[in-house]
Amino acid sequence: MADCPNMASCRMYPLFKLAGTLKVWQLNYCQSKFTECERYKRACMSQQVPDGMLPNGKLLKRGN
Amino acid sequence: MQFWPFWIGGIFLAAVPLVHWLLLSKMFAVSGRLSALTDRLRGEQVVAEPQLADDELVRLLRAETASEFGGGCGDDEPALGGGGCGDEPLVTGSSGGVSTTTPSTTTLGHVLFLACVAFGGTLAYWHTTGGLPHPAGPDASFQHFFGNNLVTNLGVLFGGGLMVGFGTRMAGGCTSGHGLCGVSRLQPGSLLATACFFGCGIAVSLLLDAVVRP
Repeated sequence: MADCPNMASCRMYPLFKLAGTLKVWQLNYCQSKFTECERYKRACMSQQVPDGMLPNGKLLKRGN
Repeated sequence: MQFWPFWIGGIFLAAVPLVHWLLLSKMFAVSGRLSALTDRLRGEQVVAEPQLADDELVRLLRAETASEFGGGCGDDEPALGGGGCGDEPLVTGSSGGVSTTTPSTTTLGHVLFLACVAFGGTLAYWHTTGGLPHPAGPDASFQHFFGNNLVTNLGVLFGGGLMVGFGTRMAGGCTSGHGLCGVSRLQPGSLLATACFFGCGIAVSLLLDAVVRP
């Protein structure tokens, strides 16, 4: 499957490149099943995408 | 009313989301835009959570990565710097900058889009009938079934619009989102939703036709 078309504008994508252990998100979502990414799905529906939302839909919050 | 040939309609229906995608890199979703617009009007945008700093995001992200994918050192080597697990250094500078933000369509953008949808429909109606849209329209079946009273017709259309709005919100999409974009990508939910609303639409249409036709 092709890469996610929202890579360039995604708030979360650059973070996945910061460390090797985080690259698993890229491999599992951005570069493969991006249609299952919650951020992608929300963006497609023109909905607001929280900065701290992960591709699996979980929201990163202080105190997590 | 003389409708356009079905194949022209099909070409337009296929072209609209395609052009939308090419121009905006977003899926075509009318109800999604409408929902986003109403959410903003209700003020949900205002109460958005405060932004997290990048380093805090990364810290939380590491913890969540371990939870999601089984933590610890992955097989992949650290992408940046010489760190191993845990406190591997973060990249800084332009290449690793995290200054980008997810672009969200502005309220004006949503309003403009929806206005253009209405304008396009009006233009098509004018091109076909030579007149402007009227609640009763030139459709004989509609007039036969609901009469030619302006208030009644407006009420019927308003009620129909409410049901469409409720249904699309409940189903997470409308005919454009599910029927055009979802089905073309073979999304299971969209296939089911489209089968449901098209199936029901055909059934109701046939039923009304049977009732109306003398």
